[in-house]
Amino acid sequence: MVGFEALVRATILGLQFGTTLALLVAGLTLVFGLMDVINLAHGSLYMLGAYFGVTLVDAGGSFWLALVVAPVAVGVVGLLMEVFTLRPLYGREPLYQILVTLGLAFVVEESVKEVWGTSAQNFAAPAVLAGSIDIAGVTYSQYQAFVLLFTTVLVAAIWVGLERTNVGVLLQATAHDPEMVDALGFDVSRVFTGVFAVSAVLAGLAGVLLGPARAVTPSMWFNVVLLAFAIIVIGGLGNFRGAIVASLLVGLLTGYAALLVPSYTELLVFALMAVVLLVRPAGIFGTATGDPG
Amino acid sequence: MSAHPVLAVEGIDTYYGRSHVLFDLSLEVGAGETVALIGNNGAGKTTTLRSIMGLTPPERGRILFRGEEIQGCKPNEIRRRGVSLVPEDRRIFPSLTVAENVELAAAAGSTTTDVYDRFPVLDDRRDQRAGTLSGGEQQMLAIARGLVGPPTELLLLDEPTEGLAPQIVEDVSEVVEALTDDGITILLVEQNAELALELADRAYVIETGRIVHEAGGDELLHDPEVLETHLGVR
Ligand SMILES: Nc1ncnc2c1ncn2[C@@H]1O[C@H](COP(=O)(O)OP(=O)(O)OP(=O)(O)O)[C@@H](O)[C@H]1O
Ligand SMILES: [Mg+2]
Repeated sequence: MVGFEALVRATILGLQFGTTLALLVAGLTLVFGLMDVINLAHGSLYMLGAYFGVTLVDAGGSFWLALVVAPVAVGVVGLLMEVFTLRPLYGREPLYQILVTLGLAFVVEESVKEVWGTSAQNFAAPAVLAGSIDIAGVTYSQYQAFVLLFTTVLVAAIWVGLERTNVGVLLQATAHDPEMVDALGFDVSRVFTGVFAVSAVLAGLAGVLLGPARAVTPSMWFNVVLLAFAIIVIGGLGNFRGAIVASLLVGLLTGYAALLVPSYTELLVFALMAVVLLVRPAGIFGTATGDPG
Repeated sequence: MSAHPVLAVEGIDTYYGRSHVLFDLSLEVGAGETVALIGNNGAGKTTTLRSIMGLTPPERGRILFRGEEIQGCKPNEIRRRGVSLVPEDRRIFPSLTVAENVELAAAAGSTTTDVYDRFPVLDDRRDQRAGTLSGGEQQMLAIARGLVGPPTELLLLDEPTEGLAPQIVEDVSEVVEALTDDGITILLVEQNAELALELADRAYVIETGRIVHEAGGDELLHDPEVLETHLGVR
């Protein structure tokens, strides 16, 4: 029998995973909403975040330095990817972008094997957060509490930024009609590059944050990109709000499944995706027009 | 500056993929003029404006704005130089409010968002979602959006009265006339040939991607043969 404490614990851990997933998929869904690009290399950017992070920490840098530097470095990788491989392909059939980003994912995997080898890296959580903390009478590691707090604040800031700021308005307009936005005097190709780079930064950040909790290996990108796509399908392709809500749902589902039926966690996520597709093919928040939320 | 026409299109050929749409097309618009481009459905009017705006660049020929070649420029550069397109079907951003539509366009340049004097109907509806405006209001918003941002010297208007009730057509014509009075040069595409010729100083008639006629507005309007053969009017 599952006790109350265990349920509370699963909820908090699920939320923490969910908000980190939200960070991971926020960029992915923006890139899809604006550029119609299905970025299969998104999981690879997440993986690079984890590898850059572990390397910086091993080299004697602090975790906090890694938390800033690694995502920025991933952002630079993302920027180069966009400029040199995606930019020439906008407006073509989606298959081109799928093939290119899948190709990039394999290039990143092989490069990671070359540089770091095939064995798993040991990414230690920062020593200051090694202790534990009580929430509602249940004990967690301080690191998990930090991740929950940090990602919640960041995701909320991104959400508000998209709805309330001038940049948010520009992005909403670009998602709707990029050609018109260009004709109004905005260099849309720069907007695309900027969004892709920021999306990479967020993926890299998620990689650093989840790194200490999960195995850092050259093939970790694959499950992550599958999970991320399941989430944005559940939320409604290209719909930002939907992606965030779906992240939390999937996080909680994962938390409870880990408690109740640990071996079926992934199966349940994809079952949820299948159910959503059957009941609401455009996703929970999706509209027929694919209007970004 | 007056040495050059504001706009000179010189022998452009424009394609959509392999389909050849504009053939050796030339036209000129002088400073302060309102010039109409009229022709039947599918004649290539929108394509002409898209070519000028850099949205569908021509493969041959030149486009000069104030004497400078712009045919290789991106739409955003062309806009910042002073050409502004009010597109067919308006293409406002429906999920944004009126004010957000205007402010977004204004943010691309240095001019203020002060267009509400000219468009009182928008002033009352600043916080309304643009998608919920009536057709006429949406057209006003599209024109307003075309006037803010980088200073506009040449306005490209693509069928601004399409689908509007006669009274609203009247309102739109008044706006066009007021813009002309303010010294804005206008290239006006219209299916409503009579209206276009009333508003315009001169007009070009386009047929299957070629200019087949050029004349003063009155001249064309009173030439029944032109109206019938080229425009299928009455
Ligand atoms: N995106 C496109 N791809 C291929 N062909 C196109 C495209 N847009 C327009 N055309 C073709 O180019 C020709 C000219 O079209 P255009 O839209 O310029 O005509 P128009 O004079 O503006 O017509 P209308 O009065 O109906 O707006 C037409 O034959 C049209 O079918
Ligand atoms: Mg047209």
